Amino acid sequence: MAAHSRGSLATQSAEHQDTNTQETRPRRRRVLAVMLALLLAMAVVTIVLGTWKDPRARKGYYEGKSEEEIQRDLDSQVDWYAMEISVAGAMQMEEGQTQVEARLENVANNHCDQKVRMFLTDNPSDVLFQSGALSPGEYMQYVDLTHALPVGRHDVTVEFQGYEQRPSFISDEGHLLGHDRFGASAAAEVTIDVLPSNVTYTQS
Amino acid sequence: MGIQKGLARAAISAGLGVALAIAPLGSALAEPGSADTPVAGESANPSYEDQVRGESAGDTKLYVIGSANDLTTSEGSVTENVKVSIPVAIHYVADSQGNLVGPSNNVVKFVNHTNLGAVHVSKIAVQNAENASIVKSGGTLANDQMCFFVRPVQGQSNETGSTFVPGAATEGASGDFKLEGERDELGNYASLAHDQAQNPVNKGDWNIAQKHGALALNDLSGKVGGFGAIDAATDTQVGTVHWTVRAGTRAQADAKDASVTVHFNSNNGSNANCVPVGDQRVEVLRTQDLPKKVAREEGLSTPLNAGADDVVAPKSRTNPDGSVTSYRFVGWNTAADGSGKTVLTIGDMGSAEELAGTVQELYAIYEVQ
Repeated sequence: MAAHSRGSLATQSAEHQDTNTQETRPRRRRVLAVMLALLLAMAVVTIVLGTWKDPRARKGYYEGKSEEEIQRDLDSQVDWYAMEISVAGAMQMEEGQTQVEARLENVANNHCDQKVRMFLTDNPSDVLFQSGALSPGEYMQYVDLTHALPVGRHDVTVEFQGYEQRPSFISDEGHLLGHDRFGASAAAEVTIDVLPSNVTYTQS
Repeated sequence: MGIQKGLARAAISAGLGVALAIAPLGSALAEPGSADTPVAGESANPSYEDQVRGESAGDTKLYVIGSANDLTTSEGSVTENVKVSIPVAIHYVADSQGNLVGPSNNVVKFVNHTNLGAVHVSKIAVQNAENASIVKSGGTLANDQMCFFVRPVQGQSNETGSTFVPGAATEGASGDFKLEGERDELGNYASLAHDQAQNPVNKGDWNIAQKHGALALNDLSGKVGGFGAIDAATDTQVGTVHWTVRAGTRAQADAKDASVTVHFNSNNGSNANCVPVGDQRVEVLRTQDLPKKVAREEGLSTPLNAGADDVVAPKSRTNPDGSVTSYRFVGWNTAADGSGKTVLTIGDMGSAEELAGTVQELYAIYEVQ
């Protein structure tokens, strides 16, 4: 009985080993397949990218290029780095409200995404609004301010920062897969009139 | 055998998947002009097949996008957007001596795309980079603070026209870069923190006319200070200019800045002749926004020079002895008892500079008829 038991145990163990072997083989093969696929993919990428860029290429201007030629090249870059900004020149809202019609627009002609920040001109640390990225051709009709403003006229700076549309591995702002800035920011000074909630002007 | 086939299939599938994934990358890197084959998903254009060898053919694609506006009416449009094209990066090339070549004159421009009015550059802040900057030609590191030598060239008629003329760069007797005339140089704004932007010195030169009026930054020249910090193999940022624009001309903006809040009082107890018509007070936010008429039924006050209403209309009061005294409105005064200055317009209360940011009280004055 004991021998049988041992034998049985031995058999069970052998069967268990067989089962294990049968289970691990396909797993190993799958792992091997994935590794092989990765190697193949890396080889394809290496071939494509490695043959695309010539390692002898240098950035800049070749020796002997005339100043006129250089200047013409520089001129041709200027339009690309001109960023158009568009925002309502004057905004109105009622006392106690936080939504205002800002008509923020990243015009379709731009070559960059834009993020927009609004702050009180006299107090830049008081950020009234911060947008996410707007691609060229996109707009925001209304924005919600972080807080209501007192009755009166407020000078507000609307700052546009352009960003490259393609992400970088690490952006110049230090974000993983973030977007590099597209030049410097540009801003427009606008006004927000906050009217008493029970006041209606009638223009004659 | 089946496993090997599956293995090979898996490997090829994965490789193909990666290849397909990078295909758009390859397409993006391809020369834009090499469009011999139709774009995937589009049928071949017969014109390509029909065209005679040596001739070229082109397509114009028409796009339509929806607009939230009713294009047939302009009602409801409060104010047009401020739309300005601003140079956010200017590239220079430095030779081996650090001398800079920048874009040509009249190429780097602010362009006003606002249809309804002029805009102007209201603030400028310039910051040097940490290790390098642009200094005057022949300058040294000690001159780093002078930073950018770019000069706006205004339009010949910069408030109504759209043309501009190149400026002539001349170096001033002091050795400082200055232009003839009154044009600015950005060196005046060097090393300012972003939130310490300054108003342009020669304000009028920074106006940009409506409808594609332009303001050019010319004479983009100088020399690199801290040349050792420049990496010849890549772009090195040598400074930052922050531009701020604002609707209207500088003169108009100055007028707007002269804001005044006016309280119209017609029921002040110290005014012996005041007829009690109820508390009436309105804040006029800006001089140019002064409403010509404020609706009485809204519970508001009467503006200057308004037509007949509860304030300016003749009043009568029944005295304790039963007699009736009639009053007529004679105007607004800066003092409740009428001893101050008679005010017909906001300008009567003082200059724009004197009134800027103040709150003014005006009192309705009556006299016995």
